[in-house]
Amino acid sequence: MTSSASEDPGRLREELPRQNPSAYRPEPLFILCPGRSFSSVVSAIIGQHPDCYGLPELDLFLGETLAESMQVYERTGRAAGTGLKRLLAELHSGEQTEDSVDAAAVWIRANGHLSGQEVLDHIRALVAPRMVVDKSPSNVVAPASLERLAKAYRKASFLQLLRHPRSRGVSQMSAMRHLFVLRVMGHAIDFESKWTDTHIMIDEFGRQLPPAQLMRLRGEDFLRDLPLYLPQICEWLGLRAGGDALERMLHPENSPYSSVGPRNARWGANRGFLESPALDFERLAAMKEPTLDDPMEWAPDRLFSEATRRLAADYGYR
Amino acid sequence: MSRVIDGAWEGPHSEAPRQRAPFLRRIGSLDDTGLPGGQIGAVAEFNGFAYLAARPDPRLGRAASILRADVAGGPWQAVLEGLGGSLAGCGLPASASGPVAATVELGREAVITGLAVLEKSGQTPCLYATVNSPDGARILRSEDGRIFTKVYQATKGRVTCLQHPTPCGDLLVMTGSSKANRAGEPFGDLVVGMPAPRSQRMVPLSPPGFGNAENLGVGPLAVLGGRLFAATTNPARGFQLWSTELSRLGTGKAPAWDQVLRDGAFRYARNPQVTAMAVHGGALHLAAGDDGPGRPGPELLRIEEDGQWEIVAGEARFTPHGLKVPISLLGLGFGDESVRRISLIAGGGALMVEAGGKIRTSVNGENWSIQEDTVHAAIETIVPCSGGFLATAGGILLHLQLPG
Repeated sequence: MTSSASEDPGRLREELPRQNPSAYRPEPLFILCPGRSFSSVVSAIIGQHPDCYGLPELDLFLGETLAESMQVYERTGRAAGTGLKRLLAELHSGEQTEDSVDAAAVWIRANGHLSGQEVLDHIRALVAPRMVVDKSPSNVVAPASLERLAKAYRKASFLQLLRHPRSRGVSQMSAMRHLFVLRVMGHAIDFESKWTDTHIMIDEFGRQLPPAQLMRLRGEDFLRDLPLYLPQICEWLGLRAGGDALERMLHPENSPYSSVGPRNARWGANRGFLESPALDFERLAAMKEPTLDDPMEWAPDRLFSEATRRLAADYGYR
Repeated sequence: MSRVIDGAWEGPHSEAPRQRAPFLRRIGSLDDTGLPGGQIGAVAEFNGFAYLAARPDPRLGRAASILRADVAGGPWQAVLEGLGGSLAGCGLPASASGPVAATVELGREAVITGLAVLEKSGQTPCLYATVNSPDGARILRSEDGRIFTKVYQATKGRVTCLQHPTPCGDLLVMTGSSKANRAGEPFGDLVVGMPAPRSQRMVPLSPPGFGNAENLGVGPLAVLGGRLFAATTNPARGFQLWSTELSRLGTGKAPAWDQVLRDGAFRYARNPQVTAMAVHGGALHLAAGDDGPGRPGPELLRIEEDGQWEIVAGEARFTPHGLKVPISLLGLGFGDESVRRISLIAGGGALMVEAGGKIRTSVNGENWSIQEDTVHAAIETIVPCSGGFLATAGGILLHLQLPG
């Protein structure tokens, strides 16, 4: 696929089913968590395994079709499809430039009728035989999104990624300072329930799966001690842990998506990570966990609810 | 883990066809004794008799009592009854020795929390009962299974709530609650031991709560490979498992303990307590979980003598000790979401669990056979006896034959 795609989107629609029909495509790994849960860095780390392919945020399951998913995403006031454009530019054109991103945008418009599964299968075929690693927080933004995802990939592996509810909330608060204007205007911003509701949803989903199809990972543990947990991730996913595999996983900055993209598709993952993707091992090893006991930074007059504290204790937070 | 890679869910390891031989035999129930609706708090086999301890029921004016019947069948006999009890009016024959409660007095509010048989070297085996009551915990002892004498009475306010009596060499070890008698003295649940039957002495064998204020209880106990194991209940952080060498016990000093597992085996508050322990195949097996309503189900763990551990049935997870995946490929509650608690015992070369009324047996922990018979209610207490196990479920006393 080249940038010539932009010249004939109709041809692309016909070609899609014929791509790599016999290629071995391992089941995907989906990282499930609310945003601001270390998903960008964790996804990039796992995605750097030689037998994996880490994806930027694709947001393919917000609606029944690609076009619908894009529309739903745009309702948040943010530009939709940034990660998908970067990915398609890289895979179709071999580079992420403004031109190749424009070509990807044409492809997206031409294929808006495709389901999220069809788009992801197209991507899986392009990177086969590697396992795709998806971390789109939108996959768990609502039960319907997770249901679409689970229905499309019944045999996929799922990683529930955890972060302490306080540090996640503070991180989201920092990223959404502009929204505090809304609170001043009387709109409630509840970073706590986002954490709690999302993890309850993932928990309930996991209970329906056979043992080990969904695994839970405390992001703090993982990042503090990568040599301990990376081999376990590999063992779980059936990936080799020998050779240079683990060493490559320690360099998420080498992903083609671990940087700021071209002007017309700059992000596609956590901005802070894209601006500084290399791991700072000393800082990670010294990472502290906050407490559940103090008032919430974004709601100084309130403590965490009993439901949140109970769920957090279930995950080993205190 | 190949299942996850190739996407082919193969299901758990074999759950063999149900055995056709009769497995369960109902010995009797409290209904048979004239105590309908009563609850059984403890069970034991001693000198060929099945013993059960009935809980008091103040609403019906019933005091705690110990009853017995021949394991092979026969009428129930009252052996011991608390003051103000009602056994005399229920048509139950008294023990052959004469009137009920001939040698000890139990208060109306006394509760018999445990029964255990201790065979001290060179001495006649004895049946022991732990009793809690507002006027102090005590231990009763019987050489013939009919007449009980008091061998320990807690100093008022010092040690209360004795539970989990466990033979441990020449010691009878159990858990108790200690209370401070001086300001600032730590208190909490701990492991205690009675070195000699008539010593009238109870020796603390662990610090209260094993030194952690979040440990709200201690028990059950088990012995494996020359070590005593004790589990703590910790709702905030998950159970802890501790062990000490048997040779360190009975020295008159509290021995040093080693922590074997922490944080509910890294399932945290979803494993707040160990509900049962059993030794099988040179390994300690633990049933752990939270039996509260709406909570995720329990699981079964296996701990080797060297401290290595595995999940037999339960929730796969990443841990500081490596990836743990259930070796049976069975999930929480042995795959049954409605299961709240797993009962567990070992005997006859097999491990037996009850979960959700289904009884499974296994030799290696990986392959399980489901018995044809089911129990009508969750098993509350279970102990080994000749030819199998004695178990109580919903007020019924059952004899479970050893798996063939």
